[in-house]
Amino acid sequence: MRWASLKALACWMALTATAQASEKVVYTGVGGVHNDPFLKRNIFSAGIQVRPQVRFRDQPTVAFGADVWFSPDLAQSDWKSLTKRLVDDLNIAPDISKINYAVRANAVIYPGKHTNGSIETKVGIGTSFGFVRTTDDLEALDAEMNEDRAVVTQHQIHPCSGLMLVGELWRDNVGLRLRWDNVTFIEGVNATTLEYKGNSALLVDLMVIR
Amino acid sequence: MKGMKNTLAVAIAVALLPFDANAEDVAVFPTRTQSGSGAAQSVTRAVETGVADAASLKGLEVLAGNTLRSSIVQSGLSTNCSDYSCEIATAKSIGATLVVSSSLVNFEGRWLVELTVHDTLSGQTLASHQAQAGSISQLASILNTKAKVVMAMALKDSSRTALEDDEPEAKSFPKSSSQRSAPPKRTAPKTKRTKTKPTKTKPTKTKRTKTTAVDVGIKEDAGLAVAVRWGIIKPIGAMGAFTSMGQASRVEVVRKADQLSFGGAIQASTHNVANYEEQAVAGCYEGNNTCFVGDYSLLTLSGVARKAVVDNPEFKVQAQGTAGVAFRRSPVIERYYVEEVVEYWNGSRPTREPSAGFLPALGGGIDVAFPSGHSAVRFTTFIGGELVVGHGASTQFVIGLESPF
Repeated sequence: MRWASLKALACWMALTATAQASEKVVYTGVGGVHNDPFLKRNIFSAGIQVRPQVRFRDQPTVAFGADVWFSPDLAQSDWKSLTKRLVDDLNIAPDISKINYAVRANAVIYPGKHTNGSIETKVGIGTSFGFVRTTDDLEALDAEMNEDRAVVTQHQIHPCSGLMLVGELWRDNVGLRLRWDNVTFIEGVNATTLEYKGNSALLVDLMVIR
Repeated sequence: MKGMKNTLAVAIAVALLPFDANAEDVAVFPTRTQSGSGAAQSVTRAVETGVADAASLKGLEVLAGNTLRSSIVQSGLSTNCSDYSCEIATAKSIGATLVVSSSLVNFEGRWLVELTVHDTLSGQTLASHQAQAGSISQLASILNTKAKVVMAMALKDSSRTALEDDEPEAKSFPKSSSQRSAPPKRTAPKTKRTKTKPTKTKPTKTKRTKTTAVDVGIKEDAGLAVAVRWGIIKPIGAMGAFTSMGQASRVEVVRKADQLSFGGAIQASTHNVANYEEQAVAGCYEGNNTCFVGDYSLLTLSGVARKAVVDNPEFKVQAQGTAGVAFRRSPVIERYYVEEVVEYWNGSRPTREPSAGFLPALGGGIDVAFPSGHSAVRFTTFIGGELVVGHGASTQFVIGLESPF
């Protein structure tokens, strides 16, 4: 599955590399998942975008890119107070899993921009496809490492897709971006239980045109 | 007659620029294209001639063709540049101050060339101009004048920038001229400008600059376009009985044409399904055996064909058809599926496996696009359906944006 994701990424980058008269943007960002009631997920992100010049227009309105997420596993430090209460006080085992990393290709369209002097602001809407790797928290699941049915689905890689909303602030070749990034996938827990996951993250990216 | 007037006007404009006759190298790179080397060579020759004519009026030396190639090779650099930044860096390395780039494309049988002049020191785009014609020979005949125009624009821009910066060492071409009086701007001393600034040496990079908008008379509704869409998808039939509305994300890349457009699409959808225990309680294994293990994702890769049905300035309606393959995935472990889930269904194993291989997929619907008055981006909606053989049918409604690129 990892090779499949790398191949998909390579194909996407090869396709985007053919674009002529394009801007190449690299970025790095930090943020976190904001809609998980059980877990705190801090995310570090990096990526590259190719923004081909739109015919007859003075600015790119399309961006094709590849994006990588990494979210460190901090064990129980990742638990929110609700999870601690459920597990420690009430002995309830919530089905929680942690995003470890994600590799995705994306396409963003910028329908609007505003320029004021040397400052340029843009808003964009996009979508992404790729793979996300998750790890089930066996401790929260109240499962031991020798429980085979829990262990077989502890680490999984899933295809994912999602919606992306971005707001960008540019000055010359440097930009700041606020990104709402949604990752939707289907996850297996305890071998046969299927969970529909829709995690959304808020990230701040520092962008540079190369 | 009109052509002669234009040529004369350009020549006068170039001649009147506040320029010195210092030898400033202008590198003219070969025209980039994917439409055949013969066409590119003709365009390159026309551009070189026009640039040489404009440059000779200012006493600038032009590096082009074999001379340029030799200079690049002697510098140990590659002669194959495929983008502006490479050409700027290469031109700078061989000592050129300006670099003229050109690219040639063919849209619906018409040839379009874009000329761009960059300053190699700052990387800034000094001027950009476009020209189009029905044939390469027609294009070549007008490129001489166009090249002069773009050079005139570039040299004017260079001189203005340098005057404002007042940094003679950073920009060498707009120096005082013994042949004509100094421009009025320089006669009014400014306190701010009396400071001696250190010479800036910026790294070469292509800055985000605006190109000159020129009406080239080619319809924008042609060529490559990308659409990103999101929406809802609802299985119907047997799967629809216990499947909720899902979420769909979709990207389409289409080569647009007036009548029939073709391209490719990738769509991912995720669906929330009643779990296998609930289905068992509902008796899914009885009768037609509609059991399915639970939530699933469906990834579809397909070819796209669109045909315009209604096309007016307010909106465009197109019939769209797709054909491809879909991959369904419900990540359960096979051993436990057989031991536990199938057992729960009274031993009945349905034909719909949790994770299927690639299944044939056919789709169709109506796409409606609403152009924006001042942006290349269009708002689009799509309503239609999809049949995945071996899985089921679904209806979908997605909205999104579409942009040429």
